[in-house]
Amino acid sequence: MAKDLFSLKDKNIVVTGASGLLGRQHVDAIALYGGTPILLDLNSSILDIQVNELKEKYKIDAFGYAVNITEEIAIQENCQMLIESFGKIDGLINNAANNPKVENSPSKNFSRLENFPLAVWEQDVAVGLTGSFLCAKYYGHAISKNKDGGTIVNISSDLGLIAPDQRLYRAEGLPEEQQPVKPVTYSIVKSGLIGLTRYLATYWADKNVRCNAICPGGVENNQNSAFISEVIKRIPVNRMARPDEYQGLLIFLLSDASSYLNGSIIAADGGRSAW
Amino acid sequence: MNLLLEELQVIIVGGTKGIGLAIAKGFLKEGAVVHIISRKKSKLISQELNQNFLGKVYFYNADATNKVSLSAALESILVNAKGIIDVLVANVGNGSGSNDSIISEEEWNNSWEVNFSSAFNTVSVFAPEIINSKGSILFISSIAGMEFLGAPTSYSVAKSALISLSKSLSYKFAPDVRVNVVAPGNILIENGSWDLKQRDNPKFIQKMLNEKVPLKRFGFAEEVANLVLFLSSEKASFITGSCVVVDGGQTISF
Repeated sequence: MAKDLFSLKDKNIVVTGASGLLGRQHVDAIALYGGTPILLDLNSSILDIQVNELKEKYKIDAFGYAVNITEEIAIQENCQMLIESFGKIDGLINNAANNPKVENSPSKNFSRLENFPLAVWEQDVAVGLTGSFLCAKYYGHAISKNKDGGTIVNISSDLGLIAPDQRLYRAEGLPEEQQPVKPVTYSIVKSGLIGLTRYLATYWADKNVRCNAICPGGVENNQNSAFISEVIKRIPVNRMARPDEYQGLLIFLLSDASSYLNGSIIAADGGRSAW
Repeated sequence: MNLLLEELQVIIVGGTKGIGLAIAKGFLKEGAVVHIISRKKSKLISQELNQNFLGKVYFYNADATNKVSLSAALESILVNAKGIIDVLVANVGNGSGSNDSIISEEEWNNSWEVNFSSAFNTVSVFAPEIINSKGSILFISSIAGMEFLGAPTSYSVAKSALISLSKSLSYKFAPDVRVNVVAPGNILIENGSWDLKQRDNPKFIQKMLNEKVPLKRFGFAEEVANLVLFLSSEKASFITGSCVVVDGGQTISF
């Protein structure tokens, strides 16, 4: 494969949730393959540090902006400013999502569906789905104006494809009604992103904007050993992912190497959702 | 991206034309050693590849619908590959056939042999080597194995079965061997069936593409090969049991 097939040279790529566990890996990968990562997240001082590290490490341009992706005006203004400064946007990674905590409180357990507060539902949907919609509306639309289009990658999850196994989240010694669970919003947001992927893949296809989704499995990140040993029983490769293990697929999907992939929903989960 | 495929030993069953040939060339350009198995030898292709990749490409005659024939090829491959096979690509298939709703048993069996048994035989004979090397296996299915597209029923059924075979084996060969399947859409191959139809009636074909494929064009064999190379590489180390569609958006739309 020609080396430049994976090149992201001269490509400005917007990443939401850029300071998170996977967001950091995405922007590193973009920088490594010569692209210009444009980092969006909430905390400007964290973004500043991250951008300086990227510039130093990869000798590339990188930019960070503190914006709340649930606020339409913030996205609209940021997009306009990016177009004025860079002339174009080539890629968008819808990565931001609340990672709802599997709550383990002794009294009332708010992660459980029967107790789940409407306000938390609305917040999770606002970040994961409304945020992705607004980013598609502005950055995606900007991408569709390019002569050669561009790419959108949505970060879904293996839990966008299968139901969470609530047995994984059980805490010993608690009565049934207090057992922690994976919150409903996680499944909703992640499967919603798959619908958005199919919608966008056809919406701007004639403008050569491709849209695909990655469904990553769980990343090992200091979870307790009991959880890890249970979860890996459900993963054929018998381990969780390393944080950097989705970089290859992301670059493949952002680059010309995947020029005929459009609307593809790609499980990258060690085989967990295969059957 | 450096896919780290240099010096890997790759077997491609069905690799002298179309998608298989593009996959072979892709691996060769990445510095892999490629063992191409085909029913008929193509002098033109072997000359071309030997000229560009001398010492990196080997050709073997075998019929993938016949296990004995594949086993004989394996012996020669193991000598040339010095005993280690890293990647296996099962690519034999043929989408031509009658479009009748019920076809003769003979035609059904022939299609099954070519489109499914060829892949089953391929893993039967070569998988022990892949397990040995903790390598990776790739099947080539088709979007015709995912939904109704007007392809011969026998072809669709066999291509669906390939997806099922791939997913089953991804469990059974885990955790050491990764098994994935690629489902290409309409791929334009020189002198292939789409090429002939296109030359015959270019307007009709463009209309079909405009109506059915969001990207409004055929895919190229190289675009399938790129995906196969990526999935075979260490860069895809957490991807197994996946069926990856490369069809310009055809199956998600209209």
